[in-house]
Amino acid sequence: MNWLQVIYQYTMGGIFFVVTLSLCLYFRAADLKNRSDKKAVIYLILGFFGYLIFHVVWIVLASPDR
Amino acid sequence: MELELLQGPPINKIIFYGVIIGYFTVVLGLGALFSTQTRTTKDFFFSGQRFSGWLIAFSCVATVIGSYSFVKYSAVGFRYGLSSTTTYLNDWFLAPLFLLGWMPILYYSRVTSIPEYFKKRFDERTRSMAIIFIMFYMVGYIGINLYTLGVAADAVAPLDKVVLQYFPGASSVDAEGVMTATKISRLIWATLVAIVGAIYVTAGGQSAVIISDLIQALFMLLAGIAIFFLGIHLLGANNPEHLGGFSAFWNGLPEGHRLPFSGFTQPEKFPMVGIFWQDFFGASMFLYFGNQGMIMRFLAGKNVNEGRRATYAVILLLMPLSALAVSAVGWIGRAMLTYDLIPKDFDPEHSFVLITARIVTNPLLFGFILAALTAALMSTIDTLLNASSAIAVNDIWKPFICPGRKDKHYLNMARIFSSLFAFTGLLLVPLYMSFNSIYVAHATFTAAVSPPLIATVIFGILWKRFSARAAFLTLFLGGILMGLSVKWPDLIKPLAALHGMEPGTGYNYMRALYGMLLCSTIAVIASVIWPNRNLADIEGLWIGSLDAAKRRFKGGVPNDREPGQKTRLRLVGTEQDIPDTAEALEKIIVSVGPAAAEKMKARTGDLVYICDKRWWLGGLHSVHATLAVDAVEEGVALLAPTAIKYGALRMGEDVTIEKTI
Repeated sequence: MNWLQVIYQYTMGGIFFVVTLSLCLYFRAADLKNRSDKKAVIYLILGFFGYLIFHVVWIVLASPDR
Repeated sequence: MELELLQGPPINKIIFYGVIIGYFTVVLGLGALFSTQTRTTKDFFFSGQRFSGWLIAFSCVATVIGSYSFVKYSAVGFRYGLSSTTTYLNDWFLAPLFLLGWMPILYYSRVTSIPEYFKKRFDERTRSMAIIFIMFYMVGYIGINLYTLGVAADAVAPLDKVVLQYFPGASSVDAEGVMTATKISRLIWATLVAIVGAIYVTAGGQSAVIISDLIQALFMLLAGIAIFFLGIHLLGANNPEHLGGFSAFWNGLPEGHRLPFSGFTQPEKFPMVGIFWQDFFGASMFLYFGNQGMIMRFLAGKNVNEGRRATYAVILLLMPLSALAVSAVGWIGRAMLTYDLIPKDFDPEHSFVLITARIVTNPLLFGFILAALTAALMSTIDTLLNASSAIAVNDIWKPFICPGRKDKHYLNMARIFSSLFAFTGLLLVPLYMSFNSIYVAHATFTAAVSPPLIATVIFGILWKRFSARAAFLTLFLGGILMGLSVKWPDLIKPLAALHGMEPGTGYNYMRALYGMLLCSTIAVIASVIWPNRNLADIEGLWIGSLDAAKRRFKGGVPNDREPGQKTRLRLVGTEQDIPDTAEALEKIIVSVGPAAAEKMKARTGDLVYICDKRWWLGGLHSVHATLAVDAVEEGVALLAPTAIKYGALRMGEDVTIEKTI
């Protein structure tokens, strides 16, 4: 199965994702009072979980025990 | 890179030449069409920053997919199944830094190249080193692409008989003579493509590149997806269990091939952990943060939000589709092997050619596949020519050789450099033909310089203390340490062992992580010892000062918190015209009434974007301007006739106007 791989990828990639997103918010590169910046941040978070769910569902569907 | 691209089944020469001639005619036509609209260096390199996100997104895909992608990922898909998609589906992690940091910094600081960013953020010395790194990579890569194309085209339509007839030096029929004729045949094809590429890039600049890339991307995606569904149909009709097409495909894949990832450390040549790091730091980060051609694509957008939309489309939609398009042949081939539809000793390296020939039996459709391959080859070359020219003009010619000239002069030089780089790339082709080691050396060099370059960019964006000296040391020492790891791969052993890899394996895959860790260490230590103290000098060039970049970009206080709505107005020419010069075209003013301004939430002095009402033109007919809210008749926008002509807009027709900032 691929659970170790998905955990590893989303942990390592997730650390990079969260740290860089947090820095952008902290330094106001993304200003949440600006509507387009706010939308971008929401899309970023949705995209992250979208890909995660996509991979998890894929693994479940490809599972021989299903 | 697989070079024996189209060996195998006989291919209808009439279709092949028809496709080639038709394709060349289209791209040359695009070059001619856009030559009249390319009047400034901003037009030549960034298409006047006028394009819509969807157009940029397709263009990015064409740049990412090369013809070798089809060959490489077909083989990977055959060997390792659906995990061949790994490298196409892991780019989202870098999206925050790219969308919220890197792209706005470049756009609002009006930076035209990565070396120019290094100059502004650090110093001249760091820029010079970046120029060496990037130009070596790009010019070498132009040569490699031309060589690949020559080999591919020669395999389909060899000209060796023509060569033997007309070149006495190659007239021998012995093995050596035939080899010489083959080399000349490949060189002729490479020359032909270099000439066509140089002409349309030189004439039409970035606009010609982006529009031809749109066509190329559509060809590539449609061809790959068509092959997938034709393969599904073939499997449905030929499996012994009488399963439907998709069930036959799914059941035909071994269980491990259905998963999205390969084993964590196995197989040795495709371990998930190695692929992840190699692709993330070595390929994806380089693509978005270090690839001049890709960055120029995003900067060609009408505003930062449009660049963001393009990024969403690329990473969330087009990359998954591309993964399917380039790998499908391999997956179908593996299922065919299960049902004994191909021999057991089938060589996966040739899967793209041989499986495609089995799946696609219609000659016209096969011609379409050939067109897609040609498109894949051309789309990489055109990007490289335009990007190399941008660096040559903006980072070498303009600051060092001929400063202070009018924009027209630099536009002419940009065109000359495009042609020169095509010619230089062509000169490299015989070298690649003769010495495989040069190709290997170029690939090794690229792998070695990526982590130092990327680490320098990332620290430059994120950390104000990261100084010019620290940046130079990161590039210089990082490059040396990467070189040492090539000479002594055991340096990477601890990282590979930490991830459970067998001794002696996986070093190449972990090199990018090794490089990033070391370069980051150098960057931090050097910045602690020699911190950057001139914060005023780096305003607008790191994420903590984007407001300053926006102010400088606009020349006033940004007005972007309330986006406002697009408004549709009738375009009317002013009585007083502006001069047709690059300088005047940078200061276009559009006048609208108060109601239209209110709808846009815009005020006098804001930057706006005026576009033809036909959205499907993707911004081809458009222009940027500064807004003046005046006592103008409502429903009307007043613009100087020269500006209307420059934006290819139509006087008296409706346009949409939206606030940029």
